[in-house]
This record gives sequence, structure tokens and C-alpha cells, in this order.
Amino acid sequence: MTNLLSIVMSGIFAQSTLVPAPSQTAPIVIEHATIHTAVRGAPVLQDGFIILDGGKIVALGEGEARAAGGGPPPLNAQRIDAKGTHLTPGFISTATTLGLIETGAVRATDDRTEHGAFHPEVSAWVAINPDSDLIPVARLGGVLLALVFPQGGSVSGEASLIRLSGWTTEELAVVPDAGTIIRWPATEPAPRWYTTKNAAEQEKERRLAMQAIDKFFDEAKEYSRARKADQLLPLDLRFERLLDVLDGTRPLFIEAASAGQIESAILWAVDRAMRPIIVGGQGAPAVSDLLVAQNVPVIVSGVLRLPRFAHDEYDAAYTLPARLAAKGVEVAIATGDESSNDRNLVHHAAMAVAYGLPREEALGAITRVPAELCGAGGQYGVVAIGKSATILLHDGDPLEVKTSVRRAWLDGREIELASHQTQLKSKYEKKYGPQGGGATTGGAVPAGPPAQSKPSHPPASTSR
Amino acid sequence: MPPAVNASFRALILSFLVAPSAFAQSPPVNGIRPSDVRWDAIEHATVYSSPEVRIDDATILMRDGWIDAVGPVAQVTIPAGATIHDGRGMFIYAGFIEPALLVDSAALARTATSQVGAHWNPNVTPQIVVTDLPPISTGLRQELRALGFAVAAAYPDSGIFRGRGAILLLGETPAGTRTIGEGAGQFVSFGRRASDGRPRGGDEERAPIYPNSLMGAVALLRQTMLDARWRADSTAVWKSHPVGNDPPVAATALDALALAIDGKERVLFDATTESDALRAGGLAKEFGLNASILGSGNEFRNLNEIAALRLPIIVPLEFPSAPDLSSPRLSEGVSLADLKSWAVAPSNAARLLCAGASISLTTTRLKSRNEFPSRVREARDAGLSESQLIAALTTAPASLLGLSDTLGTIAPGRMANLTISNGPIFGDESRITKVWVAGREYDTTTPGDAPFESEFSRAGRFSIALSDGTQRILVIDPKKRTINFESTKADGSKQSTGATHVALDRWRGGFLVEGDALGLSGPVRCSLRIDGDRIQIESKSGNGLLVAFTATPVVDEVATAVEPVKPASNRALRPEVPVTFPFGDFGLASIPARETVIFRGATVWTSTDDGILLDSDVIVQDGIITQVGKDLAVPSNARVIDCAGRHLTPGLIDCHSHTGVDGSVNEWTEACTSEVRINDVIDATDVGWYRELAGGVTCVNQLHGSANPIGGQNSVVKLKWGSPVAEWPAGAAKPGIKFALGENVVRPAGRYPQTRMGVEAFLRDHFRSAQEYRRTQKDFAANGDGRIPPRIDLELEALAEILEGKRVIHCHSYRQDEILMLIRLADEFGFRVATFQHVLEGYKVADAIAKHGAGASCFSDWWAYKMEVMDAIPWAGAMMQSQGVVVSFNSDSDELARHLNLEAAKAVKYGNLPPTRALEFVTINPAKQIGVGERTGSIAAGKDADLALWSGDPLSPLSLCEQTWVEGTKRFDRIEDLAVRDSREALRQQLITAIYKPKEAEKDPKKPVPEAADAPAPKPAGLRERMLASKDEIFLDLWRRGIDIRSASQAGDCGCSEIAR
Repeated sequence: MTNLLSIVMSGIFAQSTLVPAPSQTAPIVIEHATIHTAVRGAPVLQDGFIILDGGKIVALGEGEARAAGGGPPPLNAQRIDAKGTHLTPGFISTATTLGLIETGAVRATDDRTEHGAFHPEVSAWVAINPDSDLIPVARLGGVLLALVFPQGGSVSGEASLIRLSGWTTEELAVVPDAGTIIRWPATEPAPRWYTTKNAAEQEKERRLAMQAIDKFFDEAKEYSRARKADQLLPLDLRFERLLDVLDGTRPLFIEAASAGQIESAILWAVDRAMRPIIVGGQGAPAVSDLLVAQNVPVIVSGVLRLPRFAHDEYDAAYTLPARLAAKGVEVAIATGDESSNDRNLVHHAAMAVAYGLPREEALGAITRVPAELCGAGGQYGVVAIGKSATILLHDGDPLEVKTSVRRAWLDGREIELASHQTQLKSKYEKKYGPQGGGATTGGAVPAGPPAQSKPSHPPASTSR
Repeated sequence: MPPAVNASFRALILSFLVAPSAFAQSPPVNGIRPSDVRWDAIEHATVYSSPEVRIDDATILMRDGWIDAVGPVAQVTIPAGATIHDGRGMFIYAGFIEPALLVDSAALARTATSQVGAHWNPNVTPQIVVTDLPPISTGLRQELRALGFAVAAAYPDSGIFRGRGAILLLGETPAGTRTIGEGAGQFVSFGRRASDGRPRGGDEERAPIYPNSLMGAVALLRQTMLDARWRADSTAVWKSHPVGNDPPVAATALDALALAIDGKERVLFDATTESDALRAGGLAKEFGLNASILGSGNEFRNLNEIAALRLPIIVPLEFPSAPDLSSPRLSEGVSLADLKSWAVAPSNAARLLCAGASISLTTTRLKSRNEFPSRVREARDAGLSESQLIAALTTAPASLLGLSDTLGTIAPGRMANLTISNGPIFGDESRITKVWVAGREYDTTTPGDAPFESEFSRAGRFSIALSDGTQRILVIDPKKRTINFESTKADGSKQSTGATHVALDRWRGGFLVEGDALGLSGPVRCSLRIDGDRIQIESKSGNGLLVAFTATPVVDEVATAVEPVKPASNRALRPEVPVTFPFGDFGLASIPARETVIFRGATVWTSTDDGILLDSDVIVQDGIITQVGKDLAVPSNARVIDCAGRHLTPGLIDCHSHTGVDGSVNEWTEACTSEVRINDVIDATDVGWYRELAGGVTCVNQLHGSANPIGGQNSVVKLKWGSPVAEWPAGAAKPGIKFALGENVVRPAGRYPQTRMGVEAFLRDHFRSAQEYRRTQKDFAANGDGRIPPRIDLELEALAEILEGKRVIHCHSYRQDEILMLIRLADEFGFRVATFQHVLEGYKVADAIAKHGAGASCFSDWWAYKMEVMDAIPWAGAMMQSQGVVVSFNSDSDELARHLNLEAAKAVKYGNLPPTRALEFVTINPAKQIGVGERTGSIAAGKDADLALWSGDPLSPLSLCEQTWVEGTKRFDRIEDLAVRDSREALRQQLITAIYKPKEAEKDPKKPVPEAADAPAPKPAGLRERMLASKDEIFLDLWRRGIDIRSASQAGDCGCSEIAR
């Protein structure tokens, strides 16, 4: 049995060790953990065990570890005593741009937004940088999967569910085309401090934007009919990608904040027999009846965010998931923030708990629900027999900020919890540490080059 | 003005009036000289000789433009030569005075800027005089007279020091338009547009010009006034010591301020917000100015403070229109503050008077000047009495302009300015009929205007009996301007004939109709008029036959006579609402009181070496923590707060915030802006404060943005939500200033510095400059007799204070090289940097920071948003602490600031700090860094009672902040917050109901919204225009996504997104 902490944060990772983990070769038995399965309505397993084999969860229960047939675990299994730890499904960051952008200030690292207003043909997974420095940082926060959204335009593109470890984009892609993203026009005029345009001008713009969206989807529908009748028609990549969105097979992720936007978006989508999922959702409680009636889930993009209006209650964003859940609306929680902060996803869920969302629903909102929304519910999102062995071991209550992820498996492959940041940490600990030779940084240098300051390495990146 | 002056003044005017040829510049008369006799008497009128004195059946005797006598008819003898006017039915008031007429002066200001002696800054043109502009148009004079005005004080409207005003007569001919008095004083602004109060950054069509921010505008005002004083002083020295002193260079701009700076000339401040009014009051006090304020109309939002300035206020009557609530979805975005503003605004003037302010009314800022009479009536309905209104239009502005002996009342010796109405002047049916200006009468009604202003006052169905015994029904719809005649044929079928050429006024009208409609033949021309409840019709057919008909209301039908359209009383429409401070949704009806409190049985996180005290009591008296311990005796009158299961921590402190800065947080038009002060622009009404209190924050370091290597002076405030802004600054705080290094400061294109090398040189040069500045001052102090004194330069003052250790630097920084650079520079100049802000690579040089003695204030885990933050690591805080650096975690974000406790918890997660040490990152450590460590930041006897009470472990995201106390006053209480939500919602609904009128629902939204009035003219795409356009796009997208624009500036960007790249 390996001790849990012996592997963790040993501080000797170097870049070369940040390689994608190999496939699982031997079974793994994790025992004596508190297991939060994220299965709806399922109890927390105290003193739980889990057996991972071939990248899947093959056994799960409480007390003494048992194989699926009831017998003892396989003899070749790696056994981990996880006493004192909590086990959860790997977190899923939703509506994120992880992998599409590295540094906001450098255009060359930004692949989020395609040119033009309608580009459903672009798909996020195609441009994910598997070697992005942001991905390992997110993993340290327990984020093992990400539903990545292209940005911009009216129809932004295709969301892709990716796993956050692999050599190539092909390996990363779980659900390459998880649904089409629409950014819904504002339905109410913005106040004066947002714009120099008056209400009438804004209304005109809104109508034009809506007309354009309608026209695009009408044309797509026509195209769909025509293609079915005549396969030799010239291909239109844009409409081709929409075919199974138009018939409701794949969902539409509709970015909408106000109650008016949400209402009009749902009515529009339902009228066209499409399957909407709301992203944003700040005004959703006012139209929760419609959300429930049409069975529309809401991805709350950010709990740790400011209220929408100056006159909103101070905790309006904190209580949003709880208010929706209380009405029976299915809720996923995203950060709504820059992808560099995806590691804080669980803190958003925790804040929702502080302001009324039941604990297990909060966990579900960053695991089960997002997996189901993008059609990966059969594989990911819960700890259950037959599902992917994508799990986290936390050294405490997973919702606490102080808690860290200690070990993580993605499809049974153990993920190295290291990053550019842990490498820098180790490096500079050596500068100050007793074994590091006590190098010090020079202070004032009246003349000539700094005598003591020895920048042994140039700044990480200076290109601008 | 003393009588003697008045007499000579009058003589001056007489000389003009009696002998027109005295106009030296007048052209020769083409024809016979006009006699121009002005000798009039109005008798039998109702005369208000002053706001309070009404004389019935009175006579006014005027000659040559002046009033000779006024009194009851019996007491005034009319000389034989006077023209007698029958004043029966007339209500006569002293001619109204418009105290702030703004005249477009942009072109003149531009010219003045390029002339000899101009100020370097195009916003400073005090030398221009409104009389240098083309005279105000006849149309505008007519418009003002129609509103009852005989005199106006006109001012140039462009820039910050806008120039000098003049008092103009609003008559015609050279005599009737001349200026009177000595001038109307200097007009200054805070750099916002006079029309709508939006900020403007210098000339919008050219490159950005200092200042772009409100704090920059205040700094420019302050420096310019100091310069004006210095100019006067140094000129005096030079006059007495012409030898050895350089003669002064031409400085017409500064010379123009000489009187104002001595308090000898009035200074009118354009205060387009209620907080600008307070700013004006502050500057008036600082420089001893003879100040008055052109208000915003929103003074009710901070009434008592503004009234307490004891400065005359000119009050505009622009009231917010009711928000569009035709759909419940629209009301989502309407705040209680919007609704309350709508309800309260008409009572603004009344409230000011009631609070003891001296007010005058103005037509300025009205979207349409013609709305003035209806606005005045709304103000009347909202509480202003008739005499108060008269005073605000006559005696008050006269006194404001220093012309009480000439204007404002009807008395012998006053100018013959009269405003005449056909009824009590503010009555709903009254109209102004005549205005007299300097003894000359002007008709205010425009031809064809009266009495046709209203709709035909009868409508509905009337029956007409024709001579053949048949009957016709006359149907009148004055709204549609239609007249129809209905007849019933023998077979019972109905026939309707419509009239054409329908013209209707209130009582009469005319139309053309086919004759058979009236039993006649051919087209018949008809006129009609009201006769009691009947209508008389006179018809003239083609053959010239005149036939008269009488139409009587159809009795068996409901004759719907149109009610005379009368605006419903606004008092009824706009309900009484409680006025709070801040005026927004979370304001308070009164300032919360300081309390004696015992927090009983809490888990106390002391942020001292005592660490956590279990089950302990904390006693607060007079705003101070007096005792900390177990089982303490309850002081008398103490509120006991049961803290079982709860945790008490010091109030959290945010070492880097841009919350509550009025206007831009960056004065980015120059690379060194050490003269600007956040202190000048603290906004105590920003809802961000309340939200931060709800996260346990009690003290904040408000910093200038990071656009400049040398930014502005910071402000440290305690969050005293509900208290006047003057009480917010934390007195103990060390004066500070924001510096910035790295990417942000080199971003503005075409500006030095563009590199980190340039930043170093720039800073060194400025510190040397400050050294030399002080040396010169000391030299002068030692032997300055007979020498021109050195000029006070607020920019260098602040830098000199840094060198003297009186002011400390909070420096935005990221990369290790730039951190070391500033340390070297500081060591070279012998001062210590207080904090490196952000300092994301500080962990790489933590030993050097510790050795220098600077603090480090960083984000817990922000990174990746630009190149210089790619090496940020979340362990930085703990690592720097381990090297002996005092470390804090800050927000730099209105959002992050609401859960600084969770940021602190990250120091446990990343770096394994003990929880108590981690909490210190947001309590005592930032307190030390901003110089308030002796007063706040920990729980110990003797310290300020700044406390936060949590439902559990403060480092847990599952705990809630329940109460926040600042200096012994409770400023947030979650229970109370929850409790008032329902009543706030109820008030909202009450106001929405009051506004929502179904009939207007279709009409209102289509009504062009006010902003549309001035259609956006295509302008050359100047830099600022382009910036605004792109900003518009960005902001509108944020709105679409439901993101509060306050959160638009991301942490680390310090509001730099607004800078041109």
C-alpha cells in the first residue's frame, strides 16, 4: 500500500515529467475514503472503497473493499489507503475557453473568436493547445474535463468536451461537437452609462440581430430539407454542422443573462423544435416556470461574481443556483471567469452552498450535470460502476478553499499534479532554502551592474 | 450696491436712453430721429412689489427705464405726460432673472488658447468674456421673455476655467440688450459637459488632453488657482523690485483670475452632480472664493451636506422622466433609486429651501426650455410656495448677482423690468402676456399663438333639427379633428357625411361639408362656436345663403364632453418616498449610531500574537475596543451580541481597490500625475462599499490606476456607509501615492516612456526635479527678499514629500527586474517603498524586498492575462512571508473584495500557512502597509472597533459574514439586510404602479428618449471618438451578457482598458 501523501507535491517535478499519463495497466483499489458519488439522491459513502480497472470504475461500496463479484480485490491491484480523504468525480469546467487562449494581452495566443457573426462550423477541440500552461494549473484545482466554448459572433461555434490530459487534440477530444453556441441579443435597452446609444437605437439593433439569427436558421432549415432530397447539392459547412441541432439531437447553448433574453431564447428555440440550454442565467429565476416546463437546464456562469445591477441584492449572484434549484431547474455551475482561474471552479460551487444550495447538488453542478448536458453522462460526471475512472482525492472537504486535490485519475490514468507554477515554486525554494546555497538578491547598486543580483535565467517570456 | 452707486449707474443709463446719439458706435439714423419716449403708468393692476408684498389695484409709474413710483391707485399720481396702460386683470412681478444662461464658447476658447498669454491647457480660458461672443440671438431673447425673463446672466460654456460671464438685458435694440452691473463672475467646471454632465476629456476631436478624469480636473483647478495667486504675488514683487527679477511673461489667463482668487469676483461652479456641489464647496473654502453653485437638480440626494455649504445654489428644473416599465422585463433593470429620483426630483428646490439653502431657478439643463413653466408648476405642487417661487426668480438671483438695488423688486429706483401675467403667475391657467425690459414693453405672445393653444373643448354627439323636420347628428372629435353628420334615412339606414377642411380651436372652428348633410345643396362653408352646452353653426352655401343651426347635445346618448385636459397633480402622481443616504437602494434614513457592545462568547481571531481566543468576549465603547477576554462584565447600556458558534475577526482590509472612485481611476493623459488626489473624488454612495461591508471589509486603500509611472495620490478610507464622505478618510493612514511599472505604463502610444529602461530614467529625472524644487524653495526662504517667490508645483510637492519620507509609494509591479529597479532607485534617493502591489514575481526577489523593508500586496492566484504575469504562482505570498516580507492579499476588483477571507484561505492552501497567519494577509498586514496598523487590523484593547462577525470559520467559503462594524458602528447586518428586502420591493412596486399608466404604454416607448433629441451628428473620428465607439461596443456586450460594468476592469488591469493602445 502506498501512503497517500508520499506521491504528493514532492517538489521535484521538472518539465519533462509533465507527460501525459500512460493508460492504466493494473487495477487500483482506493479504500477508506469518504465518497461523494454525485449520483442524484445517492448518499455519501462513509469509509468507502472503489476499484478502478481498465480505466473504468469496476467496484464501489462501503467497508471492506470487494471486487465486483463480491470476492477480494485483485491481487495485482495497487492499494491506496485514503483514510481521511474525500473522493469525488473529476470536476468539469463548463463554458470555458481553456486551451483556446494563453495570454489575453497577446493576440497571437488567442484562438477564441472566429471572424464574422455566424460560424457554427468551427469546433473548439480543433484548436486546443494540449501543451497550454493553463491546463496543468486547472488540473491542480481538480478540473479534469472541460466543455470549451468558442466565443464571439451570434453563432460562435461548437462546444467541445475535452479531457485535460493527452498528447494530441484527438486524444483530448471526448465529445468534439457537444452543441452549438448562440449569443442571444440583449432584449432590454442598456442604461446610459453603458452606451451613448438610446433605447430606440438599441431596439433597432436588437431587431436587426434577431432578424439575422432567424434568417440564418431559416436558411439552415431549407438547406437541411434540400440536402435530404438531393445529396449532390453543394456542401455548406455552416449549415451542415447545424443539421442535428435543428432536429434537437444536439443542444443549443444559448448565452442569455436577463429574464427577457432567456424567455425569448427559449420560446424561439422551442418553436423551432431545438433543445436549448441557457448559459449565464442571472435573470433566470423570474422565468423558472418556463425553464421547468420546457426542461431547460441553466449553466450559471459564475457564482463569485458581481450582481447584475447596482440595485440587486448583494448576494444575488451567490444565491442564484439555490434559487433556481429550489424551483426545480437543473443547474450547472461554471466560473464565468478567465480560463486561467478554472482551478477555482469548486469555490464557486462552495459559495452557492453557503447561500443555500444543497451540498450534493453543488457537487453535481460541477460534475454530473455538465457531463449530461454535453451527452457524456454515460461516461463521466459521477462515481458509479461502469463509468470512467475519472476521480479526485481531496485532503479534506472538497468545498473548502483550504482543501487541495492530492491525487487525480483520468480514465484510470493517474494525473501528475504539477504545473509551470509548481516548477517555479520548486526552483525559487531552492534559491532561499538551506540546501539552495543561500543565494540572495542584491539591493542598491550605486554604480555599475548589480554585483550580487545573479539572474541565472532570463525572464520566462519577453516577446510582446 | 449703495444708493450713490445706483444713482450714478442710473445716470449712465439715462444718458443712453435720452440721447440715442450718445451711442458712439451707432450708425447715423436713416430718416427722422425716433423719439423713444419711455414714460408709462400701469394702473389698476395687481402688483407684487416683492415676493411677499402684494398691492391690489395698484399703479406703477416708470420713466426712462426706471421705476418712479408704485402703490395703490389712490396714492400714485400719474403725471400728465405718461402713457396710461389699463392693468385690470394683470398680475405684475419684478422681471425674472435667469442666473445661468450658458453660451457656446468652444470656438472662442480655441482661439483664446492660441493667443499670447494663454494658459498651456486649453481647458483654462478664464480670460474670455461672454460679451466677446456673438450676442445671443433675438430668438433666444424672445424665448426667454416668453418665460418671463427680463435679465440673464450669461456665461461661456466650454472648458474648466470657462471665462467671465455678463449680465444682459433681454430687450431689443442696443439699449435693450446692454450689459448691466460689473459682470457675472468666473464660471468654472469639473471638466464635465454642461449639457449632460458626461465627462469630457479635453477637446474631443483632438488628441486626449489633460485632464481626462474628475480628479485631474480638480487638480487642474487647484493648481491654476495657486498659479493665479503666485502670478499676482510675483507681479507685485517685480513691480517693487524690477531690478534683479526677470519681468513676468504675459499671462492673460492667470491675470483674469486675479480678482476671483482674492474673493473679489464671484465664481460660479458648474456642479453637474450632487457630489460636484460638495467638491465646489470644498474648493471655495480652500481658496476663500466668493462661490455659488449651478446645481444638477439632484441635490436632494445629499441635501443636508449641500445646504450646509451655505453657498447660493442655482437650481435647474430638469426632472427625470418616468422609466419605461411597459413590460415587467424592463423593470428588472430599474432601480429603486431611479424610481425614487423620479418621485422626489420635483421637490428638490423645496427641499433645498427647507434645509436653509438660498436658491434661484434656471432654465439651463432643461431638455427644452419651453418646459420651464410646467416644471415650475411641478415644483410648486411639490412644495414651493408662490412667494418662494417669485423670490427664486427675482430677489434671489438679484442678490446672487449683487444687483439687489437694481433688480428683483418693484420699487422706486429699481430698473423698470416687469413680468406680467393674466392671472396669478403660477396658476395652471395663467400665461405670461408681457415683459417690460428697462421701461420698454414686449409682447410675449407670438402672433397666432393665443388663444388657440388648446383643443376644442366640446366633443361628442349633437342633434340638429332641420327645417324639414328631420334630424341630423353632428359628431365632433377634436382629437382627430373630424366632424361628421349622420342622418337616418326613411328606410332606417344610416348615412354619414364627413366634413373637410376642419379647423378647431378651443371655442370655435370651421369646416366645409356637402350641403345635403344639412339639407342644403352644394358645398357649404360653415363656422361653429360653443354656446354653453350647445353649438351654434352658421353655414354659407354657394348661393350666399346664410343658414344658422343650433346643435344640442344628444341626451339619450352619453355626451362625452372632453374634460379640459389638465395635467394631473404631480404630487399625486409622484408619491412621497423616504429619502436615504446614499440615495441608492441600500441607503439609510439616518446615520447609524455608535454603540456600546459586548460580543459574547466568540471565537476571536485577534490577528495578534495571541492568535485565536476561544469563547471570549470583546467590549466596544466609543468606537474603540476597550477589553478582550473571558467572562467580561457587561458595561451599562451595552448591546449584548451572542456569538456562540460564531467567529469574530478584525474587519478585513483591502490594500488595493478602485471602489468608489468618482470618474476615471486613471488620469492617463500624462505620465506623471502626482498632483491628482483620489481624496478629491471619493464616492461614498458606490454600492460596491455596501457589498464589501457584506464581505467583512472595513478599510480600503483606494488607488489611482496603473497607466502612469507616477500616478495619483491614494486615499485610505473606512467604510462608513451612510455617513458623509468627509468622515471616510482614515486619519491615521500615511499619505501615499501610486506608482506603476511594466506593461501598463508603456501602453499609451507615443508617450515617454515606452520601455522599462525609460521608466527608470523617467523616475530618476522626476526625483531629481523634486530635489531641485525643494532646494529652490529653501534658498528662497533663506534669502528671498525682493525676489520673485518660487511657484508652488503640486506635482513636485508630492514627489518632494516622498523624498522627505512624508509620503509613501504603493507601486504596481510584476517582473523581478522592475521590482529591483525601484528598490535601487529608492535606496539611491534614500526613501522606502511602502508596498509593491501585485508584485507577482516578488517571490523571485523576496529577500531583496525584505531587505529594503517594503511590503508586498499581491493577488492570491491571478495570472496569465498578460506576459508579465505568466510567472505568477499562488505560493508567492507564503514564500515572500517566509523571507520576512510583510505580505497582504488584495482584490483590485469590486468582486474579489467581497470575499477577501477566501483569498486569505488560499495562503493555507498554497503555502501551508497557519490559518491565523493567513487571515493576517487581509487584516493586520495590509493595515501595517498603509500605515493604519496602530489603529486597526487586529483585535486588541485600544484599537478601533473594526470587526467582522462570521457564522463559522472565516476561512471557509461555507461561512457567511453576519455583521460588520466600523469604529463601533454597525454598518452591515445580514439579518437586517434580509429583513428590509420585502419593504424595499414593496416600495418599488408602489412606485412602479404610480408610474405605470396603461394608456401611455404604447405611446411612451415610441416617444424619442431624451438622448435622441440631439441626434448624433457625424463627427470626425477623433481618437476619443474612436475610443468611445469601441468602448460602447465592449460595454454593450457586457450588458448583453449581464455583467456589471464595474467588474469590467479585471484584477491587475487597474482600469487600464480605457487607455488608447
